[in-house]
Amino acid sequence: MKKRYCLYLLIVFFASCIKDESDLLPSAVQKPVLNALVTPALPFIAYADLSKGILDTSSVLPYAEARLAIYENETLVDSMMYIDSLGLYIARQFTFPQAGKCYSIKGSYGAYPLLSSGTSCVPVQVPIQQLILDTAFSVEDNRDTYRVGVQFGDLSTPGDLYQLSLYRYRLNKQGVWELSTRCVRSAWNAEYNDRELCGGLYFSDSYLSSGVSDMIWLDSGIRPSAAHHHDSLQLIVELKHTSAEYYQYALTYAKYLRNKGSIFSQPAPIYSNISNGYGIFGTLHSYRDTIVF
Amino acid sequence: MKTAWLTLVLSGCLTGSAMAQVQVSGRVSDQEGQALPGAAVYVSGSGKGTSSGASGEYSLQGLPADSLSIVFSYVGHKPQRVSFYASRDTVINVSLQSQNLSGAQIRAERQLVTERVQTGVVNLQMAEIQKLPALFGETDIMRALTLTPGVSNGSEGSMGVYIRGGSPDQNLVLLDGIPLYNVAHILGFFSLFNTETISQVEVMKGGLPARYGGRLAAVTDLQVRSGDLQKHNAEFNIGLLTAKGFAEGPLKKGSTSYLAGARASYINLWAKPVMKLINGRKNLIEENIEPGFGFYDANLHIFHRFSDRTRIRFTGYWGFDRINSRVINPSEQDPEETRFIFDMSWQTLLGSVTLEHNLNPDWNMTARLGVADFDYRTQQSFIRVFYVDDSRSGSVNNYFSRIRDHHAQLTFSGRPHKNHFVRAGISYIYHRNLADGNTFSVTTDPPKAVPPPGTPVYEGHDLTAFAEDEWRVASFLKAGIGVHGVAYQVKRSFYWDVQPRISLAFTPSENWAVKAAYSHMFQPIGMLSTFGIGLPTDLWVPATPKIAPQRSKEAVLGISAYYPVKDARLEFSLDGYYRQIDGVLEYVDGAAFVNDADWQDLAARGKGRAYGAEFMLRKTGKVWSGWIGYTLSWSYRRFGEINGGEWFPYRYDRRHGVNVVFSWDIKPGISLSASWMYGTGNWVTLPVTAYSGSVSVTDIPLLMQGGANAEDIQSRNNFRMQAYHRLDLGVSFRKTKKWGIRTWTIGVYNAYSRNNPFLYFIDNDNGNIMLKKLSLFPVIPAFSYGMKFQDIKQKSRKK
Repeated sequence: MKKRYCLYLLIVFFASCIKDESDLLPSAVQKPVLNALVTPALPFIAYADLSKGILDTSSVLPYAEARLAIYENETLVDSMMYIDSLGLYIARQFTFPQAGKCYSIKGSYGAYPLLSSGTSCVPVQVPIQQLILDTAFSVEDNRDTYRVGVQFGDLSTPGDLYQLSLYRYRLNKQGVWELSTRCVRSAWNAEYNDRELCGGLYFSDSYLSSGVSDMIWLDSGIRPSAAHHHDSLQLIVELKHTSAEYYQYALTYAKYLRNKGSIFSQPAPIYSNISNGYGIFGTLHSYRDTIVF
Repeated sequence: MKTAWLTLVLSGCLTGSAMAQVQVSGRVSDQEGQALPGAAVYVSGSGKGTSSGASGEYSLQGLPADSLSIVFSYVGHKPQRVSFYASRDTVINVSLQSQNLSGAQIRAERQLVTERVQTGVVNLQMAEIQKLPALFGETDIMRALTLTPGVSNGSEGSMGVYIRGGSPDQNLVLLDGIPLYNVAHILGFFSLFNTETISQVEVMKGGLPARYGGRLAAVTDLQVRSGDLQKHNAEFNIGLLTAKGFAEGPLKKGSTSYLAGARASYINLWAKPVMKLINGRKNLIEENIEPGFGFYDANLHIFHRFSDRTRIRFTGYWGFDRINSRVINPSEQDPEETRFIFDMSWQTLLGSVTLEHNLNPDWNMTARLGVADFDYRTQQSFIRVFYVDDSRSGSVNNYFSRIRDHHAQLTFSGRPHKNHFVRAGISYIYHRNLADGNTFSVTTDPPKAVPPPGTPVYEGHDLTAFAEDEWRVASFLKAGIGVHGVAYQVKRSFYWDVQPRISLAFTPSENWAVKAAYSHMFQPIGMLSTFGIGLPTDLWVPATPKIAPQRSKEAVLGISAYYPVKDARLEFSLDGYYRQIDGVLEYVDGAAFVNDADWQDLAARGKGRAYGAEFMLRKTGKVWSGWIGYTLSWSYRRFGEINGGEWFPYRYDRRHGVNVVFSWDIKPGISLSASWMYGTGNWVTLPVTAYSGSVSVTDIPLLMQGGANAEDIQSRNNFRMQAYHRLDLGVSFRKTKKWGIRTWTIGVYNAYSRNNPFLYFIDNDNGNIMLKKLSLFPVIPAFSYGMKFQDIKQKSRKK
């Protein structure tokens, strides 16, 4: 919001000097796109479509003619079939990724060069040992705040990568849980602050020194209107044990979303491990806990 | 070919050794004994010449033992010719009389380009700068420098000066010997310096002599003018956006003088009506924006002469800028309104005391104590006001950078032998850096600045020593040999460097010289740039235990020539350079301007290289003067963490640059000037491709496809902006009145209203996605009115 105001002010100050220069932008080369973030909880799935020029206003171009196959150490595991008009593919034999195994995806998109992903190994599941919730709102720094303590299971493998997410749902008047926020801001050790982005906290357990595996999550925001104070809340805490590929992708993508449109931020390229195309093939293993209060 | 060169060299040697030669040296001062640095000294009819040093000393060597006629000149002073028969080495101390500033153009003979051992030196006289077209009615030193080859302003709205592919932090800007960290007011529209208070400005673009250190690329050396020791003068000037004035005169006639100047802007008076005009015309926004701009500065210079041999001077400077705005969005539906408040300010303070003492006719000593302070702050506040109880709630991003230096310098210069001019010195700088950003909540509007707790303070101890010798090896060969040593300590880390500096000037003829230089440089303080245009938001950061200092190696090769014609002189220079940098700083991919993270975690250290060539043809005459310059350059950067570790062009990798500057004294009292500049566009990073990215911010990430919500930039700095070019015109009318001199200045900035690009952005206008270009200044006419009062007391007595 704030970053857009900066650009907004600049534009207003010098509004008479803005021109459409779309002709100057070089034309983009169309490439195949493959997105596949897989977990042992579901069979292999992937999305296939085509990229487009940045000024192109048409919608995404799902690609139904792709031939996609899943490999484990260069050995074919399964092929994928197109099942959805949105470009969704699923493993033909409903093969599930298995923890500890390493996979890759290869594919052909008609006349486009052959596309292949890097290898990604499925991590083991790491459970959340305990959630400790202080349901009483407290006011800290003039923010209505409640605390969520998360105690992890064993994070003892140095260098393993995690994403910890908190999803806050509010029960609306129709009795339906609706997601009240996607980007939950939380206070944590300043060392990790740059890793606190939309989607949660991104961290390596190498940061958790001397076996400390508890963190207190201070969930706060700009004060909600009075009418919302007595709503029921549902909190879903998810700990994703991620592959390096997923971690890199999720972190860079979150930074990209944060910096998009800001003139005071550095460009944030999105990580990709797809050769001859765009997208990501990454693995993760998530564990969730839910609290309703 | 080799034989021909050998013959030429040998014949030069033989010729040089066969003739009886003498040396003429001495000191150039004004009638009060104040040294005149940069005064031109040349032997009439021979083309030999030099310029005086910082203490006014000069030396001409290899002159024939014959009748000589030497001309001494300095801007604002009457030239003096001394004719004599030189049978032996001779010392001539000259005292130049201040010329009555009666509106007549004052001319100084320019130092001869071939005599100086350094190459890539730009020396602009104040009289010359004041004749250039004025932006918003005010001439500007830094803008004048950007009209010379190899020096550019980056873009409109940029506060930095970019020299030979270096970033602004790599230029050492000295005001009376003390480095400054900011040189501009209001996004570069005005430089920090009031032209009336500066006596001389010189830029060395490379091959720096050993007395300079602390920066990698270049030196801009500004000398503050001393006040008149005999009479009181004053000048006032009113322009469209600023008013300025200065006064000078004796505090004790003949020995103590003062010079005081001040400027103030009144941009605010214009900003709001102009904004309303724009808003009304464009229907962009209602009346809920309150903008604010402003700057002020003040100079004070006190000079005192204890004796002919000892002088002391005090220089003080204060400058302050503020840009702020407030956007209020009232809401009729919600029980609250939102306010966005942006407040940015920066302040520069400088104070120095310099003692100059002539130890004996051959040796001078200069001792200096000084302090410089640059303080920058930004606050972005987002506040909600609840109508129910009028309470406030919100958050503030606070971002600040402060650097304070304490200086102590001691320098000796002298001539131990007729062929050697030696300088040696030692200096100590205590740096205190404070740079951080934080976020905190507020309950007030305006938000109170809360000092961030636990802000790291970096205290650096910077000890340097240098020695250099300007050695006339032979009549056709001059060498500048020096070494600059530095020891820098911050926290528990210690860095040191020994930097050789070598310059050679081979002068096969009096009319031209071939020059070469090689230098190592070391920079313990650098800048992290968020936007890349030299905004004050850029963060000055010190070398730390995690971030090592920057180092560079540079080689320069150049040809200089001059050709005297009747009442004028033609100068020509061609320089080539290659610079290699290690440790250049850049924010890593994805870093954000306001971020709670430690800046050290967001900084990448990398390599840089810059190379190119510059050409300049310049005419200095009584009626018209000007120059044509051309720059061909390349500048690249490489960082392990950025762009996949590949080289990419630096934002200001400007392939071609052209400058044409012209001033013409149509008749006494009326002068016309024009300048045109062209520069290849800067590089920026723009997305060119859109594709679908997986949404990972919901609790069902695996089954969501996000649409075309990801962009590919392919590589850093992948898009070159359109070229920058601009024509400025100016005319000034001066008339002597009973009370002094009246000056009208009329100028046109960007005469053909070129929409030069400031930034590009992708805009989604009701589903129509476009690449839009934002330009800052169309054609802008300007005028100013100036009054100059001279010898005020004398005139009042006559009345």
